[in-house]
Amino acid sequence: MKRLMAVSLSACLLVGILGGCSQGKSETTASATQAPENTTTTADTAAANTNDSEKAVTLRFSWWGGDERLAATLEVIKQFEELHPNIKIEPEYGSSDGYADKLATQLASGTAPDVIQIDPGLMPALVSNETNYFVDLNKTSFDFSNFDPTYYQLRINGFYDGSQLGIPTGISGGAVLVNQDLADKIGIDFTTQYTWDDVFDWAKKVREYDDSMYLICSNKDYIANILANNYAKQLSGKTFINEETKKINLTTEQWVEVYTFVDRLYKEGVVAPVTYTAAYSGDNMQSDPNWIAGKYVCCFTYMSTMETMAAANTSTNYTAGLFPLMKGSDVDAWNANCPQIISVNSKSANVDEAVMFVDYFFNNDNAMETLGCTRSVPPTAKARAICTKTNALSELLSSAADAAAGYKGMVDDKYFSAAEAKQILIDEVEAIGFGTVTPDAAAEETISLLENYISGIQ
Amino acid sequence: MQSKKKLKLMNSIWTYTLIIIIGVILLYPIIWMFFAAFKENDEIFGSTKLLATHYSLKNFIEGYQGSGVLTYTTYFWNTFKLVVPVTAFTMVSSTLVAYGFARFRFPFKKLLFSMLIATMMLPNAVIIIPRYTLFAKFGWIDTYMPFYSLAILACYPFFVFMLVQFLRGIPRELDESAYIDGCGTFRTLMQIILPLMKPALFSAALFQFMWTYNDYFNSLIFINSGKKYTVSLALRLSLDSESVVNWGKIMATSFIVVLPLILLFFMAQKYFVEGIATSGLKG
Amino acid sequence: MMNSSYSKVIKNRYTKRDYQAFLYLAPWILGMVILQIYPFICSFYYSFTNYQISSSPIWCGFSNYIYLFTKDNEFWKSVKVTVVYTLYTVPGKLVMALAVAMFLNRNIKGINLIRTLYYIPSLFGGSVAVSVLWKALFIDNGVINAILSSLSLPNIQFWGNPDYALKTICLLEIWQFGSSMVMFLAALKQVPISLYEAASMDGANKLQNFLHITLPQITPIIFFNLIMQTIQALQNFTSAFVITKGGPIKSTYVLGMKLYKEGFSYFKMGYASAISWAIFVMIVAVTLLLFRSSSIWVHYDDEDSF
Repeated sequence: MKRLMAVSLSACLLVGILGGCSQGKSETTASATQAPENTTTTADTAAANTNDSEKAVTLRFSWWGGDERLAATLEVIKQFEELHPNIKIEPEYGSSDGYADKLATQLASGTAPDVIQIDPGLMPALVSNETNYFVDLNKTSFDFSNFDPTYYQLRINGFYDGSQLGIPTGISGGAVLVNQDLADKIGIDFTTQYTWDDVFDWAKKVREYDDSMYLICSNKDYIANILANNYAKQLSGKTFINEETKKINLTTEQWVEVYTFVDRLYKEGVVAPVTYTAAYSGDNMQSDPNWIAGKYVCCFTYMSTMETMAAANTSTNYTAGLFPLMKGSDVDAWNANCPQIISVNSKSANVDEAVMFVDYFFNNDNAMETLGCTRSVPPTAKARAICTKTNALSELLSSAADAAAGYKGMVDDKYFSAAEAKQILIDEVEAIGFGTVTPDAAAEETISLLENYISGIQ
Repeated sequence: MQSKKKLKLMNSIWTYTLIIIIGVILLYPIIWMFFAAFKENDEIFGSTKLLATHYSLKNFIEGYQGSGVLTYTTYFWNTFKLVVPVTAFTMVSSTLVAYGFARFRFPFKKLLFSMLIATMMLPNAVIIIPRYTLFAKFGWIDTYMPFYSLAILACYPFFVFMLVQFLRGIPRELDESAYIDGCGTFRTLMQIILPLMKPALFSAALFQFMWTYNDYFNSLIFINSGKKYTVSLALRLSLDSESVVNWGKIMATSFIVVLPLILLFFMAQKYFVEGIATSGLKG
Repeated sequence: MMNSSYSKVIKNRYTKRDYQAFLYLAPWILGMVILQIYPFICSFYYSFTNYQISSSPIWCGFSNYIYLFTKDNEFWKSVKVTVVYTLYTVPGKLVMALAVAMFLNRNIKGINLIRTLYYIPSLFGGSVAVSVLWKALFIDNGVINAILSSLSLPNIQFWGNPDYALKTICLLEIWQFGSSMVMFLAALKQVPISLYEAASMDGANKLQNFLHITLPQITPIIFFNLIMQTIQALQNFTSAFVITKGGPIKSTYVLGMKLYKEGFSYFKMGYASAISWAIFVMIVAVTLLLFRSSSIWVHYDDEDSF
């Protein structure tokens, strides 16, 4: 009898557990299905634009970024909601940490937000003819009139095979952040056009001036993505991979030359030893104590991070310098790109409203003023003018944008703009720095890894 | 008599000295982190001095206020709503399952137990997408249900295995005599086994509490809206390579966030450390 | 035929009470069926496909595995790094945890506070603050090197030297030994005092007590910790990911991180799944060995077998 009781008791317990479980389920499914309930078919919206104001819509907008960007973006959302009381925007913000994982998971499960901020480096891996995750904004009401087509119609800015899959949030690209006080002291001038040879000469000067100092503050990632990348493009006059033939544009000899250049950067002390900079890989150079102590003359970085670098050591004056060119090369390679793009999810139930929001985000004067430079230098001339007026665009940033604008530029091809391809170059740069590989061996390895990478692309 | 007392005193002085030395070495990084909460970025990264140049609670207060949208009051409350049920559910379900494994002989026991252990062996990174798809189908995204359901259904094999190990340290004769007294299996569990498992249960609960509290990856994937964020998500909100990160503030907030855990551990200790010694049933 | 005789044996072996086990196991069996099996099967299927997030999986047979085992140099290097990482952290953590647990298993004034203080490093878990802190402590011009200099010892490039970076990461793992320590404390409390009383009548000293009573009595928990720490170490990559990003020259590029990069930086989910099944097989092999060995050295009071 007692045993029977115990059995029924535990059975009750289980039922209780499961009951609790299904209760919770019905509760939450109700809240989760709220969004789809509000949806209307595209036919509806096309037929009745006038009904738009009546229809209650919830959009989800995801982005990453620091406190300032968060505050500004939430403010823009508020403004938009006031203008369109029927549309509610659910903000999904976070840090860049894990953002890509989450986005991939969401895209694969069809639950991605309606409006998405994306790292342009991830974009190539997400775009294919099969899935069409993102809306072609050319086919929507989005107003491009404020934008410069030569800028937004670049692959890095969301332009894929004739489709505008995203809008660049700003102009970034390379920037040379110069510690002007130190440069003046040593006698280095970044304001007149110079060559790579000058870079090596200046480095010698810096080492002679003070052997705890280096000309360029850079880690393996920045050496690969900025210095070696542009050097290689100036050398070959082409991008890395031919998009039509899927062949590598650089010859073995040219790769050897690129890696010999990297080897010289390390050996001649243009940059700090690879063992030292290992601790500051990625976008982490601002925490290098030697940068904080002002022991570098300049830093080859991006416009989107240059202010962070400048803020790390406030005891000196900074300017934006020019980029080095290669003697005899008619390609300057240095180009602008964007820090993020904003796309509309093609699986969104409310594409029209989502586009309306993106349009407001980029084209409304109030939004421009509110957003300021929280996503690097704004992408439209109008927004830049507004930011200059409100002093949101710092002198440093605008001079960096001016410096970059002086170059014709060459954007990475669609294969090489993917993170996987760039990692190959980064790894070789590091190995060269450590001396575990010769430029010849690095060149051969790069070619075989790149070929393998290309063959893996569907 | 006198010398014995002296010896004892010397002994305890030695013990405490040793405890302090080891403690300082172990805690040095934490002490450093505490002082870093008062520093500016250039002081944190550019200097090796332990002490800060000036002290103010600014970082702690601003840290608590969060990113200007929601304060940590919300985040703490969310965390509470996530962690407490998850811990409770895990303890109930894991105890039942562990009891089932440890105290019964049944067909396919070896196979089932291997499956239990095996579910821990496949890296989370590849399971997450299909699992997410599944939860999305249930409509559980942006709720705490993924965490609750895993806890209710004993899908934390760590705790099942842990409790099995502790259960196996409790002699079976106790069960047998309970059966002879006419107890059913459930009553045996509740009245005989559970009191003996108190230390294990408390440490398991503490771990589950702590790990769910600190978990970033799963919270990140399953929770979308800012108003449902837990402290572990909130902590990283201001991290971004493209804007200036005030590390002092992050250190300060990290301290605020870890404080409840420290208090919990301090208070719960007497249960998991003293449990058995006082009941004295074993052996 | 075989079947019916087999079921007969089963019927004879198990009592009615034994079948109650399934009632207790019910939550987990349900969870297994609903929440665990599907993701498992999916990832297994993906491992035989070319699956990039941007398109649906395309069957490609064993080519992921073939590439992984024969062409991907990074994989074998990562295996090596992971094994070394596991060999450092698991014994390191266990010895540290047991030693501290023994040391703190006494009744002196303020012991609760002391235990709490010793546990604090583990409470921070994988917090970003800890990663930043650990990195800052060990940089070339950081605190640890300043201490080394003041002791007139040579400075070490903890993050720049491939020989040291992994060890420094391991040290961080070992530093967070608290959870194992708590389990050992709980296990130590379960050792019957009567055993020590009997031993002291036989004139055993402390070391003998430890070797002949304490250690055998807590072997189930040592075994548990060994298994769990091993499983965890073979997958873990958070500290390496945050602090060194796998460098320098891939010296901290553990398997978990390679898997993560292939899956979420390059979005090659098919290949990542293949890597994770390779990790799975590795873990199964190691765990099986440990379970096999357990009959020799793990002492259970219930004399059951698993």
